[in-house]
Amino acid sequence: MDELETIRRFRNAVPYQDQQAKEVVRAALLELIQQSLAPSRGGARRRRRLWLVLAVLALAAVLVTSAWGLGARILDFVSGEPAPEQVKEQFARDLRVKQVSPLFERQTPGVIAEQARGVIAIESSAGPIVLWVAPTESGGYCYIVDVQAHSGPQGQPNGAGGCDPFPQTVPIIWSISNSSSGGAKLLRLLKGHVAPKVASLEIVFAGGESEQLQLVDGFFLRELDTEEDQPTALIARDQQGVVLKRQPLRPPEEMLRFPGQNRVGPERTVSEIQTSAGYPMRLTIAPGESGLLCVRTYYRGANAGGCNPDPRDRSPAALDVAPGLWNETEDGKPVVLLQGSVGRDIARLDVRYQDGDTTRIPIHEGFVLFEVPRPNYGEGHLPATLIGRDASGAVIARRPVRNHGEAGVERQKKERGGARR
Amino acid sequence: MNDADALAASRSDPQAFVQVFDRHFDGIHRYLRRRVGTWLADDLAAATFTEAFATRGRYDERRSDARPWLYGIAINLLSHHYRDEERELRAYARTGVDPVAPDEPRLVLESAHPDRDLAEALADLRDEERETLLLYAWAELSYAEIAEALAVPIGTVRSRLSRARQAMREVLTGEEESAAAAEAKENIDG
Repeated sequence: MDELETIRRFRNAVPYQDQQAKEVVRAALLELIQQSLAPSRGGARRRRRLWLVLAVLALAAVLVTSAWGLGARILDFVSGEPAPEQVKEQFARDLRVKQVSPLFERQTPGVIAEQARGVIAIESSAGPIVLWVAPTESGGYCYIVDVQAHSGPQGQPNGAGGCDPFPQTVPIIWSISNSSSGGAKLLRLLKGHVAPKVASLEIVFAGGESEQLQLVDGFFLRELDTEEDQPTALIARDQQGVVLKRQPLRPPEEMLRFPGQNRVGPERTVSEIQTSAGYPMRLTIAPGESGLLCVRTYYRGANAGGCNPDPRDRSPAALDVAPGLWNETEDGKPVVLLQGSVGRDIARLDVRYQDGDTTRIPIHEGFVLFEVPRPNYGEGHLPATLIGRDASGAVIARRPVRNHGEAGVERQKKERGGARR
Repeated sequence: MNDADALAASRSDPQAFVQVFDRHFDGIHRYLRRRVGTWLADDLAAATFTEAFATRGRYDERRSDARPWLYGIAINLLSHHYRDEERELRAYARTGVDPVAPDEPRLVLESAHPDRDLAEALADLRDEERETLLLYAWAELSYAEIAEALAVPIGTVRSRLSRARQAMREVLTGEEESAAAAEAKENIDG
């Protein structure tokens, strides 16, 4: 596949039609056309901006909001409060653990743990849940969802976390997490953040009822009843009530499998390793919709992956292998991998380290799942070059081992006059 | 009725403009969504057709297909958001989460996913090179149509596309090639 075909497939999942948007704009266009046909007053023709008309149409489609439901009662004791030391320590630990190897130095979000604060807290079926947030040097944030009934013995927060390191541009960033502790009832949480332009956020349920989600500094957090609540959409509006984004929410069983993408055939394991931390890791593939290939990696109860055009078809001599860091936040046993795929002409893959040593990397059906030995985590011994050979042993591809975004980070530093790391 | 006829008719019968809208909205809107996401794309697409309607009286009726004209309007509006687009591409490359992905809860690409390389390579392109490349690859406009949309000579389109494709090849295959070799490839393909 040449570069043009690759570019054509990039973001190809964007649907060909957005009928809702088309109908709204079409209706507003017809309104403008009608205005253009109306006789002018006093010799002056007024041009209304198209979106004012759209605002009227959008408001006509808004559902009436209802009262607060379960898991939405806000506890007001925490907003703006500095986070306790155990929470700041958790943020800082995330940062330190990602520094396990210089391979990832530039990938850390630059979380400023000292400025962690409480943003929103709710009363849930599992007791109080607090959303702690710390800013990042890049203008974004990292968060920890603290299910306080499940806290560790020293009060360490026990819940999901993540980062959006850069300022948000899309209207809604959201996720639904499912967790349980010690066999307790499944706790399902909807959480996220809205862009500054968003003034209100509505959640719509399958039965047609809806409610306003309270926004605190743009964040929202709500428990979803696992049996009764079937959310179908989030609707973001600006100060004038104009709909900025109508975000569909898929049924929970779909989101638990391949979020946002569907496989259409059985999943099978193509590679499995035992990591130096003592846990199995496996890579699976499954046929996806529209001829896509769903690739997923499983490790210690977590998984990551997606459905895309088969990466092995990109180029016959492609080396789409890059370093990855897994399980860096739990028990101090992170593992560094070289992971990805190779083109169909690659029969053998080796990695050369900075110190000159070379190791062969197994290829399984074109996929690579290789743990970098711990002695090679440090400067001077890092994986440096990938070398691909064909069936005859001839070298047909060579590529430096590099992380995504490194060049971008350097460029941003220059743009900001050398930001502090 | 082709686009030129519909636009000519719309001068006296504005309702005729709707034919042009119905024919081209999906393509323009999808192009914009792939560039900057749904939220901004809705606004830009609406503004494109508002502007087109307002300036339909100046449309060159020798051109039966209004696509290049409409893309030209859309790109002029889009150009005010190039820095947003670049920032989002770099965020995608860095985090594995596509800010403009449709209807997704936080799908995270593993670090080796080629789309992350591609996102960064697109961000590295000059604005005019990225625009030319994506009009060719996504909007599937011809060289002549791109020249019309961007109001530049065809030779300029050819050289911008050649440079952009060369840059993409270098990133995706890890190989560098001379400018002459890239130009030769462009002449064969184009």
